[in-house]
Amino acid sequence: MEPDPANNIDAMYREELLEYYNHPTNRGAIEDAQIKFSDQNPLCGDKVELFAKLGIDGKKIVQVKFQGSGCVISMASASMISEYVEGKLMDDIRKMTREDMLSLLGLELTPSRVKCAMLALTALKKGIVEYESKKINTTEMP
Amino acid sequence: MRKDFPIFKHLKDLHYLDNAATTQKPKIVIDAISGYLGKENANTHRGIYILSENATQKVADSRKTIAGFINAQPEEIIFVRNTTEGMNQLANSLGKDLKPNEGNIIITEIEHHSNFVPWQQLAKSKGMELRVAKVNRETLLLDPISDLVDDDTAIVAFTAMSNVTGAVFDVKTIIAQIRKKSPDVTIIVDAAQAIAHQKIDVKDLDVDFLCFSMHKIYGLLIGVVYGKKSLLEKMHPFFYGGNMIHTVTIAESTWADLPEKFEAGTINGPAIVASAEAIKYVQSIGMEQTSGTEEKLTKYALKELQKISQVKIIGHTKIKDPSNQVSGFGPIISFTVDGVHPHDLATICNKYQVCIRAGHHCCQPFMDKLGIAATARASIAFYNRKQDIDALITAIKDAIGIITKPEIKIIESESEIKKQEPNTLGNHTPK
Repeated sequence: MEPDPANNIDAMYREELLEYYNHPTNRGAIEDAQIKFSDQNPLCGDKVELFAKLGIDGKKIVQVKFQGSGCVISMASASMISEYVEGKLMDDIRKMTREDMLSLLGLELTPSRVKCAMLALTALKKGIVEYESKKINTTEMP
Repeated sequence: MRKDFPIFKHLKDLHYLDNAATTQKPKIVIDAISGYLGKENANTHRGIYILSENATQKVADSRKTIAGFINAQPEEIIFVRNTTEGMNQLANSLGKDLKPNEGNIIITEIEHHSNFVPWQQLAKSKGMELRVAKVNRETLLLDPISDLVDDDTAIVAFTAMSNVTGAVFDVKTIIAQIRKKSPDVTIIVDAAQAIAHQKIDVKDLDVDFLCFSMHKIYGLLIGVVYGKKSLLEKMHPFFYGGNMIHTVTIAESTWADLPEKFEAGTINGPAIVASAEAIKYVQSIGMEQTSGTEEKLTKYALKELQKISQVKIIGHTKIKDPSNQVSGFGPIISFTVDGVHPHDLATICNKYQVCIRAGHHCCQPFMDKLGIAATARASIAFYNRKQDIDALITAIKDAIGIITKPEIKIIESESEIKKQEPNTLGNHTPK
């Protein structure tokens, strides 16, 4: 039989990811975050709310926190991505792909579970887009 | 009976517990579609040649079989894509005759999105009031639907069986309660789940419209809209085009008789023919037989699930419904496992070839009421065996072991426990 990403149980539920799930990093809210975005996985209803704080340059993300509930994959991904993007440019985060997220997780996943893995990153990317479009609108104002 | 289903010969250790999503197909159905395509295929209603005439006849006979199964007339059976399309087409067609900014539409909080969103959107577009019968969070019982009915009610739509909790709604009683308050209200029943598990007699129920899909009763993906003949005759067609017209001039068109009026374009003959074989198959075993087996397995599953302390079953309560709406529970069991998200459970189940559903089951308003995002759901058909339930139980125990690691208790300090935010889906605080 071909390797089946759905039966990748040992990798999916390895200690590292379970540790993130049971003891999530960056869980919580940031009161003065410039970027706030809530998103939902339409497949299962899992919700995540992302908070990102920008550096003085307005280009770098200095801190990310999240709230929400979900499966091991979605919650571990949220913690991992929040750690990963710290100090990175918003432009670079926007360019992050599905493959980037999966390599961060060190997993191959079935399409429906990929949606779990992408939940937090997608919310962050949407939040960045929303923030930037707001910024353009305000700068254009006389 | 299990031997009638080729998939279980091909996948010997398959524990298929997602029957509420779609059922497996008996050989007789698979042979019917292959026989039709290999020996009898032609477009229906088109050719004068004998092959087409025969295909047309075969589809007509199949319609008769399916109509007979719910005690309807053949012309009261409209074939659509699926239950969802049926509901949408009813909402569109009935909506054309509703006066804007007048009256109300009633649905319930436990509806599948397919019987929720079309009515929500119709009410919105017409400026009508949408009234929603609420679920009690503790008892999971539904407030009496008829309490919401008044002289201004245009439409009431509700399900015959919850696809989440398996609650069986006493359609006959509910309809009688509604008609007592307002005899002419249009009543629509979602029988997507009920169709495979209970005898439905549309005349006895006095329902106006009832939708289901054949793939949930061992047939193919073809949706059925039953409508009272007198109502269908007055209604606007679902679609316009070929097959559904009587005459067409540049200025005007007139419609064909029932059921063609509602079936524009070429219909899915092979799926209809094979689905009729599924009905004959169920009739040959007997619905008492199939639902009896399902009931026994459901009881067994509930008993085994309740032995696991982390499992919380949603529904299947023994609470008597004071409004007589819920009459029991079908072979659908939704549950949560403390500390294990349904997605993770479903993934680990897959390791044991146990197929269950995890998610909101297209019932987000109901999930919101429960205060959860998702549940795991096992749904049983008569071809299931005790081994399937046993495999599910093994998988649940394994999932609890993997994810909550009850044997490993790493807590550094008291403050760490306090730091931990509880996940709303369960208790992740290390014990």
